[in-house]
Amino acid sequence: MYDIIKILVYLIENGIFIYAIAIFSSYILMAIMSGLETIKYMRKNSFVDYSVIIPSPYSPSITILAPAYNEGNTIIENIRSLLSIHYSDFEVVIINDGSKDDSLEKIITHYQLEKVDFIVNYVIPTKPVRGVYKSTNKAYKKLTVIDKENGGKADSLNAGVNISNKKYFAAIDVDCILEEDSILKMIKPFLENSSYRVIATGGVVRVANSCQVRDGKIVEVNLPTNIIARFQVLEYTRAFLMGRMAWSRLNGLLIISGAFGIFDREIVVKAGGYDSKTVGEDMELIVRMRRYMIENELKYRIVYIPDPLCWTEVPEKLKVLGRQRNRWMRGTMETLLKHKTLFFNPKYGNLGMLGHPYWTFFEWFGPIIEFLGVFYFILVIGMGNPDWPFYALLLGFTYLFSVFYSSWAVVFEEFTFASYRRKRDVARLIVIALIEPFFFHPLTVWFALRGNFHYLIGNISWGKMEKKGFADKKKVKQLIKS
Amino acid sequence: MLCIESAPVYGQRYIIVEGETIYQISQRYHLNIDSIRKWNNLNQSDTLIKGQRLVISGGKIKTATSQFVIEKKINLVPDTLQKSANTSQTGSLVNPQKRNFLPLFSDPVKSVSRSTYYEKVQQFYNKSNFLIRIIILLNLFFLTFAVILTFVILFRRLWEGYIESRKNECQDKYREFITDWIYSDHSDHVPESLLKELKDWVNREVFASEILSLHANLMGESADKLIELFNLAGLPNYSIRKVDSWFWHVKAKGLRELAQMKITEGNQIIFKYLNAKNSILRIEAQLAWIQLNPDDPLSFYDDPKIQLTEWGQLNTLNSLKKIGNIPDFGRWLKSSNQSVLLFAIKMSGIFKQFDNLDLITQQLNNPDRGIRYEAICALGKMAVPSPGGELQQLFPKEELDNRTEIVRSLSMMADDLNIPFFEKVILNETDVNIRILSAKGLILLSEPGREKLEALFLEADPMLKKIIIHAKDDRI
Repeated sequence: MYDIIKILVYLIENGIFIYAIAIFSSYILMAIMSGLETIKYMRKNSFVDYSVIIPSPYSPSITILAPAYNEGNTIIENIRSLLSIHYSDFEVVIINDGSKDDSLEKIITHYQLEKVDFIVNYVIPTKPVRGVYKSTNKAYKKLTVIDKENGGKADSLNAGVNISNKKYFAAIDVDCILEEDSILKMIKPFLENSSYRVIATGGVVRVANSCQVRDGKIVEVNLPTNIIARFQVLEYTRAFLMGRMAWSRLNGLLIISGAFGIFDREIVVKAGGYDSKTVGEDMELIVRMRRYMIENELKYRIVYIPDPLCWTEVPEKLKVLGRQRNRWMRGTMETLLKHKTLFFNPKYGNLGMLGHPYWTFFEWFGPIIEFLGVFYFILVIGMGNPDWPFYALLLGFTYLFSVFYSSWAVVFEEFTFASYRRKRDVARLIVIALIEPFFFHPLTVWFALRGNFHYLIGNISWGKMEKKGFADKKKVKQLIKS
Repeated sequence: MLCIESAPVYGQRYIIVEGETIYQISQRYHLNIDSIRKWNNLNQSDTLIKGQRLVISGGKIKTATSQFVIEKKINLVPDTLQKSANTSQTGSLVNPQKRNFLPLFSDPVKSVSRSTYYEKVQQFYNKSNFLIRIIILLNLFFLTFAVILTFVILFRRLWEGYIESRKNECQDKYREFITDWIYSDHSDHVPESLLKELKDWVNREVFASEILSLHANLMGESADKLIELFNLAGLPNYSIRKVDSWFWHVKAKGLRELAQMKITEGNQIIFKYLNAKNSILRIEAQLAWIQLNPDDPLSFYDDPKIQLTEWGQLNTLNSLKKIGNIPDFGRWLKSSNQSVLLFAIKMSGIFKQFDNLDLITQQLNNPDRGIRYEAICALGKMAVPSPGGELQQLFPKEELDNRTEIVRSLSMMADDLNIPFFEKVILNETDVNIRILSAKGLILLSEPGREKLEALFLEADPMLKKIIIHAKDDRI
């Protein structure tokens, strides 16, 4: 017994220490890599005139897919905003996922729709499509509305993929606010490479809370007044600007936010479309597309664009935030477990050797290990006098690292897009960085733990009872760093 | 923290509890009894009394609980003497046996109160083992960095503000000067004072960018006058200097200026970068070349190693339209360079260069699927019926994407000879999309095609009926 405790203590202390070193060094490496990648992007961008894409015969055709479920209050405005996007060869497909409200009727009357004799090609199996609508008004020629039986977000997107016959499709959340040139910026990487095929591009998601919106466009960027939303500004900056850019450089990006991404339709269809059985369909699709490309020995790339192109409202209530994070965690777990063959599998290159293990160890296990650490510390206090100076040092180390990493992210933002022009806002962001480790971070850990718990419980008793996809209103996806 | 049994304890003090012997202590810390005696000036016969303090050095702890707990116990009395005893302060990496501990028992409380806070921190540092030292250093590092980063933001804001105000200062003045220059008749020299001002880089950047942006929107005489001004102000040298920069983005900017200001000396410089490794630099060089050599803009395509991306092609096409000289792409339709060949096929299609029809039709036999695809598209764009037979022959050998494109191209050709082909596709293919396209192809053929479709509809199974209805619905 004595020996067992001894070995356990030894393992825990060594393990946690090595884990901490690994996580901190990987963050630093990511910060450096994303720095290099962002500098490269900004320099490249200064030579690009995006307006040349629009009239060119080279501009690829694209379908914008926006699934909607009970969005009746805002749907008319949202569609108008989507139709006003700057691009030439595009169509907007709204998928009404069996809404229980009057969304469909509202769209039909406002946009003068009528049912057309559309034959749906179920390349990817989905819930049945009740009808396809087009407008009688030539001004809305680019709009198509699909009415289908309820099946969740992934199922709706699949229905949209089935109906579109353009080369690329953009999957977006209907309540997101897109910048006018967002499609132009996201489509360009598909044209840039001849030696490998770009199969998807992803964009940054920024926090729209408290920003001024006019006619479906952001006119003034403000820091949210709500404190929970404000924490998320910092969190999103770190995750998107630092984490994802680094993974993009490594070609190991495992997730493109469900809020805004452009995909090569052919590859998506060949990979099997969205998985409607998971709550993390956006991450799962990327992993599967990558697998498809690697297994068929095709050279490919998934590119990430750091420009602030997509703005979304983030939860301002803890309850909603908790549900969101809970779902993110379950989505991550489902994806990682579904593709567990990738884990340290050299056949899959960076995806198997870096991406999958990183997500497993740091995104999935991170919150668990953090919680165990706290638990262990309490145990040590119970067992006798802990070495307070030492623990204080360790705590200080973690804290200062977090502050350092966050301020790095703020500097990044400042040097690249400088969305927050007021000095006051930047100062506030730094204050947020100082207090985040004590207030916001423990919450996210707790929510992630609940996600783990619910995943385990769910597998036993809940089964597939829960509605997938539209579980709550806000759907911005997993963050590299929590 | 890491090691339970192996972590050595250096220069620590230990307070004896009732009944303890030196032997017990030596066992616990894996030490030689004699060394403990030696460090503490004890004789064989001396016994320990409760509360007595011993110096213990070089031992290893044997315990089940966390090392921190034990260290804490050992540290009951801070070793305030270590500093005076061991002035070298070499720390834990030095073999403890070599260190000279004095077994003095001064009052620890008194000595702590004497030392300043800084010394206390220093003592803690010196006393700590390697790991703790690293953590302390990292703490300091991150703290300083976080502070520095904050100042970086502040500094940047200030610097930006400064540059901005300087720019605003001269921008209006220069803009006025440049507009005057365009419309005045006597502009053949630049005032000395301006030349002097332009020696400063902020002024120069503002002046140059004003000229460049104005030039982009002007044509004819006014544009020429701006180029003259650029030359008179001595700015071309700076553009050339930019091309010599270490950074590719500065180089690319220089190339752009050379091209826009029609500095023909630039040709030689640009030539070096036509196939540069960096794709943006390469594209900028190619575009610059096109602008400077409007008579034979694409001569560099003869180089078999040149690389073109789609993005580069898009911009090239744009520049060609701007200079108003679309070359005959037949020249590159036999190129061994895949990307040049692709571009030539595509351009022949877009600009309907019918002379190249045969060369493109030949490319239908190219082993590369992508090139065949481009050739099919180009033939569709030209919409001449003659290659219809070849396309039909190719159809069974292709995969779905190329097949779809063949159907699309054939429907553009509006040739009644294709009716049997469309019929075959509608009846035999499995993909819904390609069947719809064929039906649409029939509809485009007006009378005979429509009649055929009606006939097909009468005998159609439910699926085909749906397909034909879909194809006829012109709202989709």
